[in-house]
Amino acid sequence: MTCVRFKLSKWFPLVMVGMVTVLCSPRFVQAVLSAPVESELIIEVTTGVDAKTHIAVAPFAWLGKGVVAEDLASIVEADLYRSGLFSPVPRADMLSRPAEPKAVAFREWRTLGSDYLVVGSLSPQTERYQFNMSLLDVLAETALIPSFTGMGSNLRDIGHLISDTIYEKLTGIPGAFATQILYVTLDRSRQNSQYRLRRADADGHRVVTLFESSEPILSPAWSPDGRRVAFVSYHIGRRPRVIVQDIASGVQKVIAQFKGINGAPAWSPDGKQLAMVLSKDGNPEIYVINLVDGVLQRLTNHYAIDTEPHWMPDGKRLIFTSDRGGNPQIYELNVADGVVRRLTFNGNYNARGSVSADGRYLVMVHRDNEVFHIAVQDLWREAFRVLTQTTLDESPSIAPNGSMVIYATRDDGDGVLSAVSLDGKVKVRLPAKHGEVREPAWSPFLR
Amino acid sequence: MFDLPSVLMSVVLHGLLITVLVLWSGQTREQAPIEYQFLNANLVVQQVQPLAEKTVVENKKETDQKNSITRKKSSKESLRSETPPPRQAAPQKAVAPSSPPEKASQGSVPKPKPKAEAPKPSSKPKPKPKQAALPQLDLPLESEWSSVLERDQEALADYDRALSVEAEAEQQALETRAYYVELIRNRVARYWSRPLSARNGMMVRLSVTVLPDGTVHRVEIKESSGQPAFDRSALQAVQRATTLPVPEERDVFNRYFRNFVLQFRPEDLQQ
Repeated sequence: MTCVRFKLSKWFPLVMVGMVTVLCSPRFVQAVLSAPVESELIIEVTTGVDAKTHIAVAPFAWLGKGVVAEDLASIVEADLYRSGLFSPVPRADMLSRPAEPKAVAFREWRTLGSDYLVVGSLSPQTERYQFNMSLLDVLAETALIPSFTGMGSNLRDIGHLISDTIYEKLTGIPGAFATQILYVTLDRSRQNSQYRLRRADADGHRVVTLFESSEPILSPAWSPDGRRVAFVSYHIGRRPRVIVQDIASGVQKVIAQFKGINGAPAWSPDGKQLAMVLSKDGNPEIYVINLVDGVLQRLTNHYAIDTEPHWMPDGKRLIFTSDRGGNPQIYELNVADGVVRRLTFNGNYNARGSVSADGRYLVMVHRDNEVFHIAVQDLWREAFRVLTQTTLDESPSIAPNGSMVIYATRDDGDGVLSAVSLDGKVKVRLPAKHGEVREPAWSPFLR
Repeated sequence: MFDLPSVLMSVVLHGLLITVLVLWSGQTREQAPIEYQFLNANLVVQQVQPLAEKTVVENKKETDQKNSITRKKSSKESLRSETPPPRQAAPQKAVAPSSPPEKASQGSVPKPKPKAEAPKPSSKPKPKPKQAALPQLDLPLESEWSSVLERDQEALADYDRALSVEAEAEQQALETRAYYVELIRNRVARYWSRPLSARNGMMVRLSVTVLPDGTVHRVEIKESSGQPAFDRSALQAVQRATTLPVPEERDVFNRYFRNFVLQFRPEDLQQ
């Protein structure tokens, strides 16, 4: 054994050289260096709960004298709550009421379970208000919006503007709180019925009556700039006419008063054309009238009923409802060449289509087992989903940010307005203050 | 800066050093194969030759004496004499290891002979001239062979056991890892609330550092999705969780969970 060892000792230099070579080889060095690192563990998360985001809106500090007319924070709170995505922290739970980020003790808000915190102040200017607000990330203890300042004459406008700002920051989608809705109400008394075309904030406040009549009012539609409204009224000679009214001045103009049906006006995206349904040539067909020069163009020619036109966002195509296939379905029409393509195939009744601003989602009234629901079809991926479980849902209209669909439904025999998110997860009942409410139409962005 | 003599000196010295090194390594390299052969031959000789001769001689003596005690010894020795072959055979991957016990029970004397003979021819040509060197070698006594072999086998078994223990530990670590990966995934998913702008297929990667008690020590964006709201939803999911389930096994924790990547890529969104 010793002999062997002795022999080995003669090798020693060689062995040493070999060892040094191995130790110095880049591979070994790499192996040694990377050993403690291991291959990095990647854990993939593909599902979530999408719970409501907890947000605290601290009361805005009023820097003027006396008491301010409206509670700005509660307007913001209500907006966020109504979106269905947020769960506001009750004001009674708040331990402090900071008005600026410096005064915030984050731990306190974290204890309340709040993910975000809104703080701000309001000061009087001549005939106006100046506001300053901050949006804080409670968990990260940072300011997402360090300071947002602005002026406004109306506190509700300021509130909706703040809500839009917060909403966009937190969801990545522009808010639609500073938008409005049009709808028709019917008040029945013993002697007569009164129809009213009304306009309100998207939260149902600040209701304004644009037009009223004892005869039916139907199908209100916003112009793309939000300044005019088209609708059908029977107030002249109890016959349907398509009317365009300037909202600010109240001036009306009759656009169509042909024999038979004059109905379902729809503004083209550029606001220069109005599509509508006329039956002056026999049965209901889709026409387009140029609002600048008054030229009328017939788009469909079919013995079936073609109705309820709605423009695609590109302004080159229209969708409409037709029973040319045996039952009502939604079709798409290319204005340039008149080629018609059927869009809906689910069930035997799909009508009243309207399309989101990105052209992706087709919202419609879908009948299933004699019950009318609101349904949405993803035109890009051909996915179809029923959004509502209520019955007799009608007149779906998509918010300009594509987040919600407003529609009319029945509650205890009354017509009311509801809204549902495009994924069907969020449903909100809008306050109905005026009897029977029908045919809501969500405005475009008004800023 | 450098004066010529010192530069020359260093060049000469280095040259000398290199020459010496080259020559030395050349020598050793030349010798190496010879040594190797010699060692190899030695090993074979050690194992085979003395055993075969000695066992035969001893057995002859024993039969002469016809002593009951020596008979017992002989049976023991025959066992010993037979057990060595595996060692010699092992490098050749022979079936020897399994056969000795059977043969030992038979207690037959001549049987080892053919065994010993078989390797002989192969070892004969070279070892013969060097057999003279054998006595000089500090070899274990024949009687020590079994214990040497036993030790070797034990060591081998230990090594195998260690290997299997290690493999088992590795397997266990992987299972533990998989288990906690699932726990972490579930816990984070429970706190992950996606913004409205989130779409299936969006992806954000977070680098997460966790303390041994599971407390989230640090979390930061490693690879952004490009959508701040989506990135923040992932950050908040981890921040809301505050602690994550991590294994108590210190090495598994250190290897995988002290620092890992959380990848958020929704697949269940309806839009």
